[in-house]
Amino acid sequence: MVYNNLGTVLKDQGALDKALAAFDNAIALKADYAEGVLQSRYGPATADKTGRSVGGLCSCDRASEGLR
Amino acid sequence: MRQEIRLRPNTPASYNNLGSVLQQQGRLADAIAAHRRAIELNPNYAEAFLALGNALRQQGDLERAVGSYRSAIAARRDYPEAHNNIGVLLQMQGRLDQAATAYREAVALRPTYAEAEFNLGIVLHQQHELDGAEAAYRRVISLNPALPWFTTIWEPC
Repeated sequence: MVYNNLGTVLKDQGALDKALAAFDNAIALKADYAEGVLQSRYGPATADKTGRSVGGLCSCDRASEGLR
Repeated sequence: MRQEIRLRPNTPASYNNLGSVLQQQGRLADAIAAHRRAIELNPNYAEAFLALGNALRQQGDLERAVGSYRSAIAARRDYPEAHNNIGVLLQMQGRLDQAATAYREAVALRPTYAEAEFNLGIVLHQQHELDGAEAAYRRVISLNPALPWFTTIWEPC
């Protein structure tokens, strides 16, 4: 996530307070992002009769593929 | 798709679409042949050159992939995705100055192209151009703060 990269640059620049703020943003956003990805791929979480969480239908979204 | 080609055998788009599906199936040699057939039928088919470049890249033939992306740009000058994809491959090869140039060209063509801006930030950071990297990342945040953190290459869905 871009805040993580920004935080790394700021750390390399010696701007440690700004780097910490960027990493905090990355962590906050990552939690939201992870939930969003799960919902876009599997649909809103629902519960089955036992109360367990089950996914919805998979959508056909495809994120940009990275060279990893 | 194959039915479409049987009914309209000289449709470049049909071959290009077929190639994209074959690529998704991992049948790279067949995909490359299909994209090449599309280009034979329409030598100015920029999207087919880009798709061919992606298949060649996936096959590991980076030099030919870059050549195909450059052909896409020759066919369509305002093609930021082709510039971005060239940048990714140049970056993989360690040609960082050229990669940065390619990303800048992509962003110049489309200032809202967050992925290319993000890639520019990565390559500038690799070059220890920290102020430039910071500026690029801040532009990404203004465009799309939730952009995933890997180097991205554009492929048609």
